[in-house]
Amino acid sequence: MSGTPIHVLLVEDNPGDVALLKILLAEESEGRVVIETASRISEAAKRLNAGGFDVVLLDLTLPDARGTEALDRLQEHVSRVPIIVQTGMDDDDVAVKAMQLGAQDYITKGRSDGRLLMRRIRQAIERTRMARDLAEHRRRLDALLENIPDRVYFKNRAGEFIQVNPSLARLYGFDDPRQVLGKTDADFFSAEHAVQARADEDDVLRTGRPIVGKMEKETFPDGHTTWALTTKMPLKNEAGEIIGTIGVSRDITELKTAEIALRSSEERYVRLLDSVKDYVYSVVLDKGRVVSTQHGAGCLAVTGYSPEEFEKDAMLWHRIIFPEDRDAVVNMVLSAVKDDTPFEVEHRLVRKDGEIRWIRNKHVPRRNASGRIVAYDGLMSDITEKKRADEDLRAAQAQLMQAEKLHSSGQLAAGVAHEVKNPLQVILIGSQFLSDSPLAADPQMRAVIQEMLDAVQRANGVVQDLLDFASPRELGMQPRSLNALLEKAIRFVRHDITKAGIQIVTHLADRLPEVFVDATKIEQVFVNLITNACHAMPHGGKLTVTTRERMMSAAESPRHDSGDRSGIRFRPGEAVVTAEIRDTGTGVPPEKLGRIFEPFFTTKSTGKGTGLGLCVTQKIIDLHRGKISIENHPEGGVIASVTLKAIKQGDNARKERP
Amino acid sequence: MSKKRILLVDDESGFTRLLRLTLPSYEIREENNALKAVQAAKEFKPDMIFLDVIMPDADGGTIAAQMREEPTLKNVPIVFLTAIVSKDEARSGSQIGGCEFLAKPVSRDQVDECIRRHLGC
Repeated sequence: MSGTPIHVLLVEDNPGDVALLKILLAEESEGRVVIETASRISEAAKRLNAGGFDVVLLDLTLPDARGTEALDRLQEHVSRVPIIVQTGMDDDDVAVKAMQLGAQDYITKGRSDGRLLMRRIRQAIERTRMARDLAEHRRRLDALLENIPDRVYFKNRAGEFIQVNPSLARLYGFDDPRQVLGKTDADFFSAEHAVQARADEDDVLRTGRPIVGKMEKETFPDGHTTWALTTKMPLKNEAGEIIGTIGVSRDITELKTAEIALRSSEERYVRLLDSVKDYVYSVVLDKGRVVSTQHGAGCLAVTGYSPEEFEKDAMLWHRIIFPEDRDAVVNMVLSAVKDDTPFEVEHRLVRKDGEIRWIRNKHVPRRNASGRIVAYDGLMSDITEKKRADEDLRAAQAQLMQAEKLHSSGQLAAGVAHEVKNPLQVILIGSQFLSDSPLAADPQMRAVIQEMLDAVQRANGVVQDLLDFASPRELGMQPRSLNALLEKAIRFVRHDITKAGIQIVTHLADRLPEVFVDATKIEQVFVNLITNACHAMPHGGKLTVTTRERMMSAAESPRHDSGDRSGIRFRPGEAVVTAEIRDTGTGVPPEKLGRIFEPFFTTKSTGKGTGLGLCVTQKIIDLHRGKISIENHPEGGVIASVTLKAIKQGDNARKERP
Repeated sequence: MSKKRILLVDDESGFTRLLRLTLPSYEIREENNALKAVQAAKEFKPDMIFLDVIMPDADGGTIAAQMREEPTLKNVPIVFLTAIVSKDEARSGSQIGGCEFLAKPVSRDQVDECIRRHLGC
């Protein structure tokens, strides 16, 4: 107030009074008062509209307006510029009325000295400014309270609302904030929440310390809940005494719900990832070229290699595909990418530890907004166990079908045996009757009878082989040593062997693991194979019998999808026992090698074999889920080998029965 | 010492007749009708019975069971004759379900040996 001059509009029609006032104010203000004058109210109004005045000194005896009428006419300016009215007489009534109409002050002409006048001018200006500031302040505060979405309240010490904003009123279901006044939290919230809120307020009232940003779960009487972030502060009076609380709370229900949803989604994701033992990967592309691959946690479990090892070696994935499957898998990947078709393939994979596992690998393209493929998201699952279960099932089915076939062919064979053997019986006994009779004294007759007896034996042999071939029989499986069974079989046919001048060499492995077999059946197999070998060496030769334990190689084990009707017998790396019977005979003509297991196929001269021996032999090996092969040896002769699964240490006998 | 009496039950009459002719040292009675076998046994009172397993009207097992019911027959040894057995089962002296049997075709000597073994003669 000291530096800037005070602009005064003096509304006075009496030139004497104007002059007097100018003198009074000039003395007192040391020239810092600028006085302009208006002699009529209309002129005063015009000047005020132009602005620039700090205060108006208004005479109430103007020619164009008398008394408080003059004030009336300046009303619109009152709020901005303080008006001090001057009365010519001691007219308190007029003065009071003028104050009621908005005059800031009044003075009586001739009663005021310059100092007093100056002080009242200054006071009037100051009061107006303060009122204006206050009004502005209040206006801002009201705007804030009206418009802020946060809920704001003022409470007294008893916890009753003394002011709330519309946002809070709406929460409580009222349009008019005044309807909330006098109520407490207990009127709106469940008892539990009201008690807790009251306790917090008591805390603020007692300590004077605010509670800032407290997360509150608000429960309403109807049971529905909302979440709020609330700050409570002490409300103080002018003396600084705490007379209540101020609260601001923000509805964060949506945020909280989203957060809860997010958290549960994250937990679900983590649980899911934990439970997935599969290998999840993403191949990231840029302009159709692979730029990186992300390897999920299952990488190590499925492949045995860590993500780092894959990153270091771009061709690792290619190398770990089982060699036989590699080309097919690569071609499928390429054509899926080329044709934009879904990719799914089952193939074998060589894990880092060397184990061959079956996996299912599938991926789907991930596209950006414009439809371009930016990545392939893939899943590699180890399906070895499932595959094995499938194979076992398939083998079981094959066995069942085989059993079914055997059953019907068994019935047929039984019928044939019955119908053929009974006539043979008659011929046999008849021939013996004849050989007892005097007719048999004739050597020619004896020879005829002997031919008949031989023919009976031969016919009976065929029917017997047919029966053995076709009859379903339970196998009596026992853990046995192939060495012992071979030795027994050799004893059976030793007579034939020595008669033909054949030398026997045996290489039977020490500590050969046992195998699960029906001993009688396997003896029959070995007798058949050794007999065949002997028949192949009618003029002598060498019969070599060898046993050994070995690991099944991958190349040797049948492909899982090869459609081998007898089912899967061995897996790569499985321990097996092989028995080989090798002769030095003439061998089997190559064109006949493929047919030797067919029924009634024989390379022997009539009378030497029934044509069912190898067929029965193969059937027995099939029932043992083993493998038999007959090949010509490069150095001459035939090598027949029988392979059966070895019993591992600790195998459960019952469980391992085929 | 009188001849041992052997009952031979088989629907193949050619076989029963020829076997009887080739084994004159036994008194052999043939029975080709399965349904008459039990009655024949009761009348004949054999020392031993050979019983075909598969016959048109009844199987050997059923007839054997009926014979076992007869007090006079229950201790008489029964040996089955069957065409339908495997090579292993066909060995002499084999048993099926606790009963001895011979695999057809049987030779005269096999039958003779079997009778001697059972009757100790």
